Amino acid sequence: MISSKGSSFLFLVLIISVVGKIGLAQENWEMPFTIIGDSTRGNGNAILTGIVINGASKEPLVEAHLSFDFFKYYGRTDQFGRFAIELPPGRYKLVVRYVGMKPAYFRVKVLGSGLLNIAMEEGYELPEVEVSDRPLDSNIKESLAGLSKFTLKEIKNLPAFMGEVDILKSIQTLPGVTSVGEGSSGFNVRGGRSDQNLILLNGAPLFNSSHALGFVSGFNQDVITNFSLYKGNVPANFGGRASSVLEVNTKLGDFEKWQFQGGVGLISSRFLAEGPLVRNKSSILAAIRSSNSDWALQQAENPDVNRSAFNFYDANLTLANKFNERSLLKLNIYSSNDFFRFSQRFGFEWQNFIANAEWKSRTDKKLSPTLNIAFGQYKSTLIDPSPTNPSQLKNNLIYYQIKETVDYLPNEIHSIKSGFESTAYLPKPEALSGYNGNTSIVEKAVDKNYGIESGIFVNDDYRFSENISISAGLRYSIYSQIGSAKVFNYQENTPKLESTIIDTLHFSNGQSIKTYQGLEPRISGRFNLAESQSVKVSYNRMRQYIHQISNTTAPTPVDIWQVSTTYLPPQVADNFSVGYFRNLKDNMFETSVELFYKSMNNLVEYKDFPALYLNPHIETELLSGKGRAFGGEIYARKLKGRWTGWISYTYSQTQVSVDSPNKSESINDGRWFASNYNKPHNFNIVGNRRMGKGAFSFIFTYTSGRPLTAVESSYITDGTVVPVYSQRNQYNIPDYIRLDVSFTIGNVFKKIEDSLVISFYNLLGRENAYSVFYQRPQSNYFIPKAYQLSVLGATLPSITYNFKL
Amino acid sequence: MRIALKSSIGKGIQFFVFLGLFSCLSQIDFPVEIKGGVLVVTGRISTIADQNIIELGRTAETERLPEPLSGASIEVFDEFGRVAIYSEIETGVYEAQNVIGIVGRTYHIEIKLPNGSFYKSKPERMPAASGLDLIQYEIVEEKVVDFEGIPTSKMFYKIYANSTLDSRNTYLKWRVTEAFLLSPTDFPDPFGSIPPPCFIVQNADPQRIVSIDAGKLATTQLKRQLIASREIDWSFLEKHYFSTYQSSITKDAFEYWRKVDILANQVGSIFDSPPAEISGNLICLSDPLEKVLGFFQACNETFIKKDFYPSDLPFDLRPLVSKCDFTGNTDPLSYKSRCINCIDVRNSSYRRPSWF
Repeated sequence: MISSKGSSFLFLVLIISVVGKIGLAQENWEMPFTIIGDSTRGNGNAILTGIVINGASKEPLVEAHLSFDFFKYYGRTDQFGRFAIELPPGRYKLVVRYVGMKPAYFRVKVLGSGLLNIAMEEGYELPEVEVSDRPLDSNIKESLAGLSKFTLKEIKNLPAFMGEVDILKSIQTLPGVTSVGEGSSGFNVRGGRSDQNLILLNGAPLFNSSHALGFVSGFNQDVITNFSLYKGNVPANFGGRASSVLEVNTKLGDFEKWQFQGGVGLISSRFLAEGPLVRNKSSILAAIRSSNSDWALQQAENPDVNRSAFNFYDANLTLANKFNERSLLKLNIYSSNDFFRFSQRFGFEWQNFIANAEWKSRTDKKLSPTLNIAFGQYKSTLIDPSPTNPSQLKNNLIYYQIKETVDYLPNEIHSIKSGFESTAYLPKPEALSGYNGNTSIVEKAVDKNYGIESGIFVNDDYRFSENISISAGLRYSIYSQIGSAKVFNYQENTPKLESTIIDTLHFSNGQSIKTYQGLEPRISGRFNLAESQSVKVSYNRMRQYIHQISNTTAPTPVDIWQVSTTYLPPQVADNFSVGYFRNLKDNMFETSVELFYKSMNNLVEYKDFPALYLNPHIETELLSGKGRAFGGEIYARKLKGRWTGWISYTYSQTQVSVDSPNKSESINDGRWFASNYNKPHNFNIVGNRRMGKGAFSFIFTYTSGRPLTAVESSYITDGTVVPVYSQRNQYNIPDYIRLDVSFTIGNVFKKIEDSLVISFYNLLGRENAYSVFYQRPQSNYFIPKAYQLSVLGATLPSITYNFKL
Repeated sequence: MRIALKSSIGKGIQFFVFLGLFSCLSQIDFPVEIKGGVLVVTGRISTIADQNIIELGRTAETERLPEPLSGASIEVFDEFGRVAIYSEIETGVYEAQNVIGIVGRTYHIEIKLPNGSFYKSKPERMPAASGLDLIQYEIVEEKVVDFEGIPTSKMFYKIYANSTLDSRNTYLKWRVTEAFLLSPTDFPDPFGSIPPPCFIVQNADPQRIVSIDAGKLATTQLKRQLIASREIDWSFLEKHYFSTYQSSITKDAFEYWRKVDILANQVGSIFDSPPAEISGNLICLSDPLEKVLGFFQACNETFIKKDFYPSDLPFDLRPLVSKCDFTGNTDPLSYKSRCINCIDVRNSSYRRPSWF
């Protein structure tokens, strides 16, 4: 079934010997100087301005990084590829980096202010050994606290489950980021819930970012260019979630020539085509990824497994048109589908669809408005295909969003971002119906609530000096629940139950039912203590008007998204953090220590055994609680050299309290208790060893076991053993340890730009507990016994071939 | 609907794709603080005279099931006063004889323990009945996957119910009890004595909880509802009875059983509903803070009894299971323990049911 540990190690040694034969790449600085400028500013410095473009497509490159003398001076391009860098006259080695481009090397002699336009050459370097395309001291000089930026190249060589590059799993190696466990979609940032993360795909919210119940990322690696996780300070232009923002961007199609790339793996295969529709004016990118995993099911001896079905796909389409040098229109479409049926017992189907248009323009050198209009849909179906009463339960969340952002850049040390956004949530009724014809189920539909969330924002980044910079923002958000809807009134001072409903109010279509609003201040400051040391402090207030209602220990694809209502107020979180950042050995190492505290109000909690589906008065099953999370993070990263990678350790506590005068509306008698994903210790080591055109990478993970509600005794009624459980989350499952390794071999075939990735997930074959649960032993004299379920209790080897034509 | 889905999800998810290939399940020693001494009350008043049983116990300080509680005074009341007394027939087992619950009456029990503690249940209104039309039986071979993922074929005796729902405002629950004879090994002795047989009466498929809310069904005819599946083992070597009870229960009782069903089907997957303690319908009047477990229910029951003989099996069971026949070997250790001391088998007694 699987390779043994012994054979895995033999294979590992073999791969090392193959990869090790490949030589190391060298940078070449033997080129003539480029002479720039002839005059300087009053202070003696020169201002270098220019534009960085893709030499082939002529497309401006956004956020390309320019480094003079290994980041002694650096800058990056704006959304039109422009840059402006102030530096003293002199001779410099300049490196320009951009994802998907070969690094460009120049020797420049700066005499004074002048123009430097740079055209970069496309290239697919494997592996990218420097872990960052950013300035090596960006962690010191970036104003925002708790911001992690990655390009896909930085994670592409990391070991991945079944070879599927997964940005969600990668960010879980960062300090402060965890998840409930393997096979659960979603992640938790600094004690926040998974629904408190705003996941933006090209600026549009994505409500489920996973395939295969959370085992595989919903993002096609060939399409993604970069992603950023805002886990500390979240700029005011983002709103609607209480914990973090994960911003994922896809690339544009090539404006110059047609290109093709793809890959074949054990789980899925993918193909991407991109090229010009009108040369240098408009382009198209189309990509599809589809599972090819049914073969695995057929191999299983288990009759239930080989009668099952499991498949998914995702597709991306991007059209781009440059009206002129100052105006770019992008149309992005993302569609994904998952289907899973387990024998004749149950099934799931869920779909994402997002279509958004983004229009970037530049009215003058300082003002750049961006308009983003999006339509999104998240559909989920829970299927019961059993021979008696087959049924399906459907949910369908639809949203429309408009967002206008204006970037104003008065000068190189000051930038202002302002704008507004509005999102309308218009879910379809939750519907129960028969499945595949004959059924005795009564068809039923329950109307879901509508809501409109709007916000205006302004964010000001200002660098007072080389040592002090501030990012301050203010967001005002307002939310209205709108009709049509029924609102139930309950007896005062009694638990909300169906039996305590005393009146029902009917609201017509579009009528405002309940409004919530408030200010959301955001501020982050950076204070340099020395050239390579800084302290950052930040404070955020964030409001969340849509909630994931989940009756399970971890998020599932069929969880319900519910907007705020009269009885479901918005979640409000206050996030504080302070961090000390220090780089060592000429930015070879970056280190940091951060402390955070988060307080949360109006958290959605659940009564015991809630009935959440098809419930027209869902508030009778919900409770409102408060939460707190606090902890410290230690992070050390090596950025240069053959070995790169990072070590992170987080100690944190995440707790919830639900207290009420009515005992039935309290949890654990109103005391603080651990949240489902509370894992106090979280330790990760990520290593990447450059081997010419190949690489060796590993990830080691240790976390505390998550909380558990355990059986403390039991009794029998009508012959059935009824376990008696402890109060909520009073125990912890065993700790979790995992080691993954991968090998990347570049240029497998000499005439093709390609690579082969071989990885071993859970190399130690450790049977980590996903959960501990109870089943009655054979002898029913005894209380139920504890069993440990290990989701992946063996080594999983995988191989993936990637190519580009 | 929700219950059925969640329950089936639970049973199956552990075999999901890679889980089926790479997951593993193992029993572990998980240290918990055993909470003992909590009163447990389970039982009913029924429309069938011999089903008015209440069991009392206290949760054990060890990993064992509750210790039976003897010497309690239990009375059942309706709107008009005391209906009957439950008398102790075995340690911790109390029965109200010659009583039949009446539809529409509201019942509650009051319990007084020897230590003076006083308990009362919430009232339960006896619901109207729904007809149990037909019981169907079937012997099928099925592949069963064990905890290690290894499938094996086993024979099962399956019981299906066909019912007519008289009202949409009805909650139904089924249970199947089995009764069979266990004759211990008759070792030769100089006096020619024959060891007495044991009678085992128990739930045939105890972890299967089949209940429905009739208001959620489109039809009033329930057909081939699987209510029990019993593995065919050594117990089928002798005469077997299956009694199928269809109970009309209250909404509160339905909710109680819905929660029991959720807990009975935990498999540790992400789809498990978070477990919790199930609150019953009893309170301690002498100490309102004292926790009481269990549920007293008013059930309108109908039942069908079916006997089953080894000759009814379509195959010869004897070569497939170990028997208690004397083989000539006089060493008791070479026999199954049930063949030596049949009374040690769970739910075993020497008391022959009157209808057996």
